[in-house]
Amino acid sequence: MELVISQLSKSFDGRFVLDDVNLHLVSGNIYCLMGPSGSGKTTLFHILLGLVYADSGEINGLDKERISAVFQENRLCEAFTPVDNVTMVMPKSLENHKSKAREALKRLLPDESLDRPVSTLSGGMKRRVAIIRALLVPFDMVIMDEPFTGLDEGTKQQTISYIKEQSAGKLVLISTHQEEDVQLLNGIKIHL
Amino acid sequence: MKAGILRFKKSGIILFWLFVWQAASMAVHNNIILVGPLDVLYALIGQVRLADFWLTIGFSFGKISLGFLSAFVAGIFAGGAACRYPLIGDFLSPLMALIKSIPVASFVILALIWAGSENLSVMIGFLVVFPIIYIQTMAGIKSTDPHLLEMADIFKMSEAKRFFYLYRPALLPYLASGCRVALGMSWKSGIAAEVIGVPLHSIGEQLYLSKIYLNTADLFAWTLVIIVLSALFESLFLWLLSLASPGFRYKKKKRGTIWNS
Repeated sequence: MELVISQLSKSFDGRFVLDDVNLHLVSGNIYCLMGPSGSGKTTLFHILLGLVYADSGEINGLDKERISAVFQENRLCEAFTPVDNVTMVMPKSLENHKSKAREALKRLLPDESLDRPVSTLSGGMKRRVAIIRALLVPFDMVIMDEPFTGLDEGTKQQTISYIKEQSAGKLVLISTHQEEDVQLLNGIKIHL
Repeated sequence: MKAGILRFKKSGIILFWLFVWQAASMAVHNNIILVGPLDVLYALIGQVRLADFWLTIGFSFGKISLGFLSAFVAGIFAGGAACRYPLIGDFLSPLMALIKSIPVASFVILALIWAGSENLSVMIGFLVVFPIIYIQTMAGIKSTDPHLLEMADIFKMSEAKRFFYLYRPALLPYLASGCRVALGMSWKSGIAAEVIGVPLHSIGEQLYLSKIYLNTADLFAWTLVIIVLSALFESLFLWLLSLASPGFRYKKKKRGTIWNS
């Protein structure tokens, strides 16, 4: 997959959040989008996800049917368990989707947390559920908006290995503030 | 221990008011104006022994419950349809405003003309409950987190999954609070309709006969029966509704633990 973003611009109340953005992204790479708060990372993600329209510019090579995401807010159904939150987005056509979800969650979360409502989990655990959810649906491209928020060093390393494993050969676009994350991900740095 | 003291305190307060009631009735010394709790108890015991008592309860309970349940189902469908297709909401809006503003007594007279007294409480129960459930359904659906709906769009969740995981948890608290109001109102208006329409073998007929024969003890006894039936139906229905809540299966486990990352 090749994603080509040309001359993309977006303004809110007359202030440009994205101004003439040009990117060429290719599958098999992890791109780390860096920039200070307010530089338009989330806006770019929202445009790619179809949640916001750009004022001008072009996006080519994007298949909206094969895109997955970790949102800046977790956007989990708090009354349901991590297993429910993952399986609810997985297509039923996927074989053994419940056991696949459980196995994936077990890799990053303690067993006893899998059947509790998400509302009783810590912020870091919720973040990991959101990451697993994004990586267990069929996708060609995954967008992750500051996915490591609330994770300690140990769980961050585990999570990064999981992301690299699950997204091999796919296009990954991650926003982060940490230079160290780029190295851990073997990512390609993009400054906005 | 604390619960025991609380129960004892509550029982004491109830006993105090029963004593006040008995004392007031003895002071008035007129069983038509005010009967005491003991007279009511004797009247109730006298009724309970009769087969007709249970037949009457069955009739009114069945009719009022049927009115409530049919309005509950219809209100959810209509509210859901109005959210999905706003044009339906626009069409139903004046009808709802009309139903809400017409006095129950006027409805009763109309229903008597249209349907006769037999199914009067079904119709009145329906008309009183339907707008409440309709409005609460719309409010519940509209309260669904828009961020979660965006998430559902991104992950291409099916309509059935959206209902089960997103709309249902948002809808249930609104339905529960609507039902708390509607259940009480359906009983009050249903019985009032029966008193006006006097269908055979109904609680309303018994209240009407108590009035005709100035039998205040029977009036109080039947009122007590209505309160108990209404409370039982409300508890049963709200419990059934809570079974549909996503949190129900976790309630038996200890909740509130927050794990560290």
